[in-house]
Amino acid sequence: MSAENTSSKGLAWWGAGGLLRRQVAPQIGWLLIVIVVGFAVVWPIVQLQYRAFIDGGSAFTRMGELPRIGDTVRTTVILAFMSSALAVLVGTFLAWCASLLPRRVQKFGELAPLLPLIVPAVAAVTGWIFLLSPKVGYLNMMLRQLPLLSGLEEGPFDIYTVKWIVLITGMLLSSFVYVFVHTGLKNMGQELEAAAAACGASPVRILFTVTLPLLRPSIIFAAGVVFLLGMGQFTAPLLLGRTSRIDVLTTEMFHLTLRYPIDYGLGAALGFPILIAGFIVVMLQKLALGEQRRYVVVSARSKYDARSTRWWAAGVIGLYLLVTTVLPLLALTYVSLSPFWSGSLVMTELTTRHWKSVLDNPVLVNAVWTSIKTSVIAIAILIPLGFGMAFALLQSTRIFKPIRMAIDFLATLPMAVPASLMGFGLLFAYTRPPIQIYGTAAVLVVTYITLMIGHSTRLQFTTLVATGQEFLEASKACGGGALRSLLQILLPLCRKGIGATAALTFVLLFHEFSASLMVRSARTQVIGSVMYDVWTGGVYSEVAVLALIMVLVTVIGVMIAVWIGGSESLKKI
Amino acid sequence: MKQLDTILPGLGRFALATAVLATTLTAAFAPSSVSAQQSWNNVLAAAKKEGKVVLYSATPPSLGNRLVAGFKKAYPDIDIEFTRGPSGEILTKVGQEQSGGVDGADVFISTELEWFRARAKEGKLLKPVGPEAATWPAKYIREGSVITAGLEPLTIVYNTKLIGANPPTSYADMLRPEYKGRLGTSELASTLLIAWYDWLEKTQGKDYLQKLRAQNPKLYNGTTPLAQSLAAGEIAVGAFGNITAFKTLMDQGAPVKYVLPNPGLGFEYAMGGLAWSRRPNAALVLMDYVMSKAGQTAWSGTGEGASPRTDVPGAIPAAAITAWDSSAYPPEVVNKYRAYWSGIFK
Amino acid sequence: MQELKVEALVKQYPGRDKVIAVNNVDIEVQAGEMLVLLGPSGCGKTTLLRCVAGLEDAQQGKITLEGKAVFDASIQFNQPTHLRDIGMVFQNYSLWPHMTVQRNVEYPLRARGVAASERDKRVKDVLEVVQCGHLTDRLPAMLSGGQQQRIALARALAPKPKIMLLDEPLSNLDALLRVELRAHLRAIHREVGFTGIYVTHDQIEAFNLGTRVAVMRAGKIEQLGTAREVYDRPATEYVAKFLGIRNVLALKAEGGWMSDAGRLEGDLGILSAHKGPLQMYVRPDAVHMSAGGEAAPSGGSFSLGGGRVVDALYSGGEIDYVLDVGGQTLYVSTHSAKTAFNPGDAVRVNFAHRDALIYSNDKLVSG
Ligand SMILES: Nc1ncnc2c1ncn2[C@@H]1O[C@H](COP(=O)(O)OP(=O)(O)OP(=O)(O)O)[C@@H](O)[C@H]1O
Ligand SMILES: [Mg+2]
Repeated sequence: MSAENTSSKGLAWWGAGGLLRRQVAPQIGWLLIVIVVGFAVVWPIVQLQYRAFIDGGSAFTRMGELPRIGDTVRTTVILAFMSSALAVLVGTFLAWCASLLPRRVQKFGELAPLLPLIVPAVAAVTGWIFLLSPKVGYLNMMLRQLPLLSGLEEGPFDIYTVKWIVLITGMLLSSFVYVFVHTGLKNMGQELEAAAAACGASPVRILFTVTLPLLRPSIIFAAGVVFLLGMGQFTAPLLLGRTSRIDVLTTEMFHLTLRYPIDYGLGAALGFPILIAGFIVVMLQKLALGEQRRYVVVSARSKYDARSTRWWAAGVIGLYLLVTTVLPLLALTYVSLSPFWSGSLVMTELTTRHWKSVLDNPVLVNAVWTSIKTSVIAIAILIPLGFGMAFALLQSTRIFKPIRMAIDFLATLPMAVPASLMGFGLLFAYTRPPIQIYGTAAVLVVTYITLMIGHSTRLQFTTLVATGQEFLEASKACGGGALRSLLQILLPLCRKGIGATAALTFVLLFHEFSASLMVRSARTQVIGSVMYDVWTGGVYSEVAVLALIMVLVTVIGVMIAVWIGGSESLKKI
Repeated sequence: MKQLDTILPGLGRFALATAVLATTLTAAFAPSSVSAQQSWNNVLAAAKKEGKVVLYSATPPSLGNRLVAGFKKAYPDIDIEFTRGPSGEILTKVGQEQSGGVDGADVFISTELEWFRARAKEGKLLKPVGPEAATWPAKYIREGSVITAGLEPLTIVYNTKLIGANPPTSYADMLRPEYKGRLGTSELASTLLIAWYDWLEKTQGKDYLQKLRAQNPKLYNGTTPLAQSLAAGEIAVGAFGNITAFKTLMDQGAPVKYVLPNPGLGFEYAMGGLAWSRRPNAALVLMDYVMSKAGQTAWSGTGEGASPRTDVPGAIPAAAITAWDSSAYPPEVVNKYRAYWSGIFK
Repeated sequence: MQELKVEALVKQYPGRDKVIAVNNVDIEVQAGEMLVLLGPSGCGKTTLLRCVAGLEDAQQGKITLEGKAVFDASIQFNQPTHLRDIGMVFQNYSLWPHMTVQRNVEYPLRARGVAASERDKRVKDVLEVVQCGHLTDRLPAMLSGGQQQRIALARALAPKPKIMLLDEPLSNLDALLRVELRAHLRAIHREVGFTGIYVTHDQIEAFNLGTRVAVMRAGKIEQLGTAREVYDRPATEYVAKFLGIRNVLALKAEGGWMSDAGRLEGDLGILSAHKGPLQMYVRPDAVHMSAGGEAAPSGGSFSLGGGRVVDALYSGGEIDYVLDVGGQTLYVSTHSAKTAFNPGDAVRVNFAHRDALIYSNDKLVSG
């Protein structure tokens, strides 16, 4: 160091580039985010887990005494593992197929694997029950018309089996995998594959040596997410698992809530393994992914459409769409127009009375509006918040490390807690001081934000990683200040990713019911909770009507989100 | 009133409490029916001022909707907000509302009798003071404030298309060889089911459950999914069900019939006004309506259940129903029984 | 006055291997001067530029632009990049894919609040300079690599910044275009008078453009001097090697001077001051050949006998020979006007004292 430098000038505290302004001032903003989000996320979980650990953790003793608890935990892990493995396989394969789509069907074909997401899980599983109930499933009945199978009285498929729970859960989750892997593939561009082709590699070889390794972060990330969703999901086990006597942790938790007095401590204790698994998964993800930047592919998006295209790829995607979406929706539509789920395909008795009664029901119309309003408000908060948090995660130097770690933690924690469990925590948290917002629409918004902040952050993080820092640096070097850089460079570049995040968030929120159930009130019903009510105490035809309405609104919502997020950028690229 | 309530919540609540206290006292010590009528009129007036009442109920949606519609007709000046949900969920909410002191339910209807008993012992339930309470059979008011608002028998159900002649009439019939693999029953979805299985063993013989298990029944998560499957023909006979679930299907023309087995078991819905309610007068009015002839007709006049009243056309006579005794199933018993049941059925 | 001054700068990247990409670098660039930064891949050129731009937080040192400190580790001061009035061409261009060429180039002007009319004119002019006037409405993805590079250059030039940081701005262009643009750059440089650092791998470019040249090695400045100085007198063997001086003789004093190519002959007087091992670097074009039978020239030259032509490569006006001298390979390039040799011919090689760069302990000791 030169003598000049060591002269006692003192530290540069303020002024452009000074320590306080450069280092400390931004931290205050981040710190604020950490505190607010931290409260929203941690407080309900503390409220809940506290109940598991009081009395010296006697809840865990009670859990140990549950009948077949070992089996239950094992089943949970195995189901989650198998269905997420299936989801990763199918989702990745679909993404690869989508990249091989002929140009004429490319645009629709790339969207098609996302369509299963628009069907709420309860509706999808119910649709599958209509199709594949061993005796009266429509598909089974049709298959029994075939000469080979005509001897059968039931089957050939029995949906009430582990195999089908795994299959259906896997199919439901594969869309999530597709979301991540497909984006990864798109960001990668074709030049790297073209380079491999130029080295003489066959398409399959390219897939295994270039494409998949480069997609590793997307795939690992997606695998983690779907594994967590698989651990926390309970629609299929609840609707299908009963008959074949399959219990998972979430169904155990669900059953707890049906008894008086409710053992919340036990519920929290049951959720604890899921929480732990969630943490392990996220840590493994971190370990496996290492330095995210390593995978930043310099996105010289190619102008050459050098892809080799295959028509069979369109066939695969078409088949997937048919099986996962079209068939269940057809079954739902048919049942919605029947007086009741009749188990026969006689078209004479079709009626619209369920549609009428549902649409005439002011509670339902209100619920749809409440759902839309609260989801939209929540998304309006979630997107910038998640964007900010994702941005903070990407900054390696400017943000105080503990703050960055806290943000990382807060973006992870909500993903590790199943919504059904979080619902109780939220109820405990917001019925008492300091923030007593229970019974208002605000509590729904807070609930949604708590549930989704993890997804919002992670999804936008992948977008930001794929976008790369270099564009931001170029802007700074051109004299662009923070605001200009954000508005003119970063946001437009991430627009598609943000749009996709908004769309996915909307879908998940619009279908959410397990946490909403706990915090709703008569005036703040959401569509998911209404659907749940009908499902527990009504006729399946009405369930079908509601499901179709949800599908319809979801489609509209997604179209709006994509339109805001991507129409222009879609055109440009 | 609303404004007052928001501006001066404490004061507003205090005023209300005094009003209720006053009316309750008047009612309790009323020497003649004239002044009872007078004090009830005061409650009505106060309820009108309160403007609305919030009902949480675990009854099936159709039943709840009938009650709400009837109440609206009877008391057009009082708004009614209705939340339906599974007992556990609304129980949790009510508990949280109480401990957090937040505005929520005024009247609560559920099958969890023990919860009501506990609250009544703590003095946390409103004493019903309306004219209907005076004539309500004493057997159906527990601890002075837990009202049995309706009873339902458990039924056996079958699909008429699949079971023509010789339908099942008793639980013993569930063991008929021709029903093997065509039978449905329910998972231990609530304490009621535990009581029911326990009762089956006690009345049908120690090995009944083993035999039932040998029939390889499909297990459903409560009545509704079982009912749908039965109507569709996936199963031919259901061993467990309450009438409401099947009634809705029968109304749609589904080939479903139910029979009341003898001996049989039933359950009751308890109703209570919550003492921490922000609208105690309206709560009393709603309770009074539910207990009225009109309310009870809405509840069980369709034949879905029984009324403690004897003057409800179409209702099943209450005397025919033995309701399960919820006090016999505290958590320890429940957990033990679950383990036992799982051992047989899983 | 120094427009750009870097003092004792140290930049270490975080991570497991803790690369010290810039290690105690001092540089001064005079007003209006364009300093050329030369160095092999990975030696820290880009990192140094990024520090100057303020895109990295260095651990130690101080950076001054136009007399104002923009970075000072001792007082933890680091002025944000956008306030530094710099222009920068990134090695990977970093054109914004969502903006047209026009929008890309006018961005720095907008950021500086230049009026619209002035802006259009400047964009037009600067695009003319880089010969991309016809591309205004294209998106970067629709440009060739070279075009993208030129747009990146235009974007940096457009606001006429005081400080220019150019990270291999011409690397992707064909020879003709490169020469042409280099000339343009020189002209603009003269006209605008910016102060700049220009990173390149290409020594011809370096000597062509730079008033002074700095050669970097593993994060340090190995030599800094005028283009002539560096060319004529590479301060260390590293620089000599980097400049492509391919003939190296490792000399040992064994009763005269022995090398792998045999005993050094000719006029050895100037080596008498040295005892230890010496490294002698000679450019191929400074080596002359004579027929194998001839004697070593008498004065002012070194000579090696016993050579044999292995290969002769004709390239335009020159012939490049590959020789085997006592088992060591030497390279000679000559103008073909002189007598030609054929593979297999026995030859003697001679080179003048002034063309021999002699290093002792990695220090230049000749001349
Ligand atoms: N972000 C980073 N993290 C860690 N190490 C880095 C990072 N960026 C560069 N390096 C390392 O720092 C050293 C200097 O890199 P730099 O990019 O400055 O080299 P360069 O001289 O510009 O090379 P080139 O001529 O190939 O562009 C290299 O060893 C490189 O591996
Ligand atoms: Mg570089």
